[in-house]
Amino acid sequence: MKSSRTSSLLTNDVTRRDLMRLLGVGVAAGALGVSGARVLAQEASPVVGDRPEITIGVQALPATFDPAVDYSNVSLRTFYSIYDYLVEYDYLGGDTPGMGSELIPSLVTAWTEIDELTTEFTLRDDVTFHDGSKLTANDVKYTVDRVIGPDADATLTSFTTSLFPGFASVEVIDDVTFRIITTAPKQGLVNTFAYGQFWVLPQAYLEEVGNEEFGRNPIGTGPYRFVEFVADDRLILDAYDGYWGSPAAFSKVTFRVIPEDATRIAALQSKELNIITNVPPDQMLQLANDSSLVTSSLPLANAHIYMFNTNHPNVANKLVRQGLNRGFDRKAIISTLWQGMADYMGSFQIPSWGDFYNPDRDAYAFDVDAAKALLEEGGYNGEEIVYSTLNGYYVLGVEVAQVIVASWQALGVNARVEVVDQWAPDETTMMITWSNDLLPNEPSHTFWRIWGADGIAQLYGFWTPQDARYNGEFGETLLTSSDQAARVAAYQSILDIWDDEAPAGILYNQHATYVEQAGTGWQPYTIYGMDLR
Amino acid sequence: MRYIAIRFVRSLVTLWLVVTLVFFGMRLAGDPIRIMLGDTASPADIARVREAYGLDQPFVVQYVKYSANVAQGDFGNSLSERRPVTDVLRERLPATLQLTVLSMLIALLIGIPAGLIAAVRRNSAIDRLIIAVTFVGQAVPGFFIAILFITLFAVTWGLLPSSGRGDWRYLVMPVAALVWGDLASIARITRVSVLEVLNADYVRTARAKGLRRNQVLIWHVIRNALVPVLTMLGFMLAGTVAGAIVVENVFAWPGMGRVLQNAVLKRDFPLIQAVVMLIGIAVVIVNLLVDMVYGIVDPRIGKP
Repeated sequence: MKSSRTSSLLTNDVTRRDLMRLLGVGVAAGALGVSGARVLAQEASPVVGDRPEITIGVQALPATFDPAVDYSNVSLRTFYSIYDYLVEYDYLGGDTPGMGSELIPSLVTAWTEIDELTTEFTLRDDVTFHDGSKLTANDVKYTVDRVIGPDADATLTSFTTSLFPGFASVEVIDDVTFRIITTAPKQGLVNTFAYGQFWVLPQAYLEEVGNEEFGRNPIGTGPYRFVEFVADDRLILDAYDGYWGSPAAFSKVTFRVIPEDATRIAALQSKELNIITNVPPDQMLQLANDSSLVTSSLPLANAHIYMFNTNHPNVANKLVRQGLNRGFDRKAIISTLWQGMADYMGSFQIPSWGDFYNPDRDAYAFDVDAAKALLEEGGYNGEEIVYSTLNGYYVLGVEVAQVIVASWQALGVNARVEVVDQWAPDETTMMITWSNDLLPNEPSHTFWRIWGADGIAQLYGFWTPQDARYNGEFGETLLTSSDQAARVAAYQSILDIWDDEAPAGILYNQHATYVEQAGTGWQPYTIYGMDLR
Repeated sequence: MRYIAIRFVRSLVTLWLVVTLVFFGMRLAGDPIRIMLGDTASPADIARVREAYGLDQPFVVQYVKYSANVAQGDFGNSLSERRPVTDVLRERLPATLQLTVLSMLIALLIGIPAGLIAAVRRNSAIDRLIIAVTFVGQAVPGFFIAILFITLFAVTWGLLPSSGRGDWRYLVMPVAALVWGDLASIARITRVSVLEVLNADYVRTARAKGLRRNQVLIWHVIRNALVPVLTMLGFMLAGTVAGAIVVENVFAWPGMGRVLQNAVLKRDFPLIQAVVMLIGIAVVIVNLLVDMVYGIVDPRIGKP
């Protein structure tokens, strides 16, 4: 099964991505009072002195800037400007800007599969950290070892092993070459380094200042360097002109924390901010009528779902779970509560997965009669169904739970909502709201790490596939085969079992929402990270 | 003095009971490691990190360790911010003090005269106006007032910044929102208290012995009417902290209210315990001060 694959080498030519970035800068600069001509002139010069500043209103900022400590939507948003991944997705590529899913080089220029357990990467040799020190392969090894190596610090909590199943070690070959070794063959491995916590950190600086100080005064290789952080107030970043890629679009970026939605919106309306994030769907409609503002929403690489505890007697029968899955109208919820700012999903799949996506698959078609029949066939006899949802965590989480439970009650199900304040399902849980990442490109690194043999759902014991082929031949083919057609077929078989055994129900693929001053022209991506390059 | 000393010791005991209650209550209410690791952590990860923080030990063992550390002035490290909680408090306390002290002072400076005037001019137009305004102040939630202020002064008229902490302009709206509620309480209780004192025998006696109206008001009425107002001040401080959580959120003011809110949401035990202790100490100090002022205002209080 040995195979070899090499990515395209990164060149110094101006790419379409660079051009789009520059165009984005031009529009943004115009809105911020900088003439378009001046911004266009920047194309000829890699270091720019007169770039505009930008202020972004966010609902929260991370408490620490160590990616090994804070892994959340708010940290991903800001870390994207300070640090770099080894590879990234070409979000501006593809049919829909911001939704591109092709893997492209970032800190590495190429990767080659040496054998089925070993992948060799080549780093760029022109990358420096914000203190001027050069990035080497030792930094990559250190980044991994400090959190999942043999002497890892257990209090560095964000690198949970569940996010890196089968990860063995990093072997440094020379300053720009390193190998990543896994315990088992792993297709989709490289995707792991394009998202999440895998920002490359500086070994020398970290060893000098220690973890705590690094979290307060971080340095990375990203386009912006950390300047100031005042907890619950602001984060200030300056353009790093030693950046290896396209020059940063703004001379200064200020993230202002404004937790209250109404205040964040007011600050935008009073022109104190250029962009705001996390705007509730109902407010988006209202703000769309303001000609001085532009609203935008884009499917986020994440789905809201609910998970069943299939061990609980009240939901142990898969037909009951199927009946519940088909017993409420997701499309109505999307069009009313979400004002259309969420996408219907027929199963665990998104169009950007290409061949892995089957548009005809629909496990959740709303059908009252079918739902009633399934419940009856599954022996449902009035047992209480408790839908646990988190208080104030998922956008509209409680409201959606209330609609679902009311729909089930209309079917004759004895259902109720239970609002809990943290995600801690145990043996008494029947079902609980959850969110699962929908990372671009393909499902093996995103679906499987949650629902696979070593994924959270099976690790907690909430579900064990009754069909042994799920963890067996289908799972193995998806993870290890180099035959793409076989992998696609295996994933369809996996979804057949997943839909049939119904360990969960997908609610929708919600959108990220932004509002900006007209003319800013900033392009959101499908990820939480905000690209200000 | 003995009275104050007894009150002080009692207050310390109360304070420790509150912290103990919070210590055990929070641990029963949730697990910070679950929140820290999110919904993608395996049971093994959770166990590993829980052990690293010593949260796998019995509550009593944790409590004994915590007590011993606090006795030595070590309040521990914040679980979410990864630094000593004393650093967090030192950084954030000034912002809240700035808001609360200023708003309480303004509320007192306006509320007491307003209540006095309303009482002295009972049933007049000004009394009715003051009652009406304070009624609205008590009835309308601070949250609503805050949003109204932002809509008018920041969005519509562009006179003040909508939120954040900076020069004096940033203080105006959050202080006004906090004053709004406190002012109403102080004015109303002052009015009721003054009305009661105005009907007291000693006031009639003072008038009968020929003192001028202002002399009666200052030396007999205000002095006696202030006792319940002072009593309320102690409670108001705790109320102002609660109000600060709302106001700091709405105006994005980086103070203790938001520290406490985030700490509770993240089950950041050391930080919650330290904030509760700090609030407790503030309440104890204010109440002690109030007790001392009682002695001045009404010499009968505190005497055996």
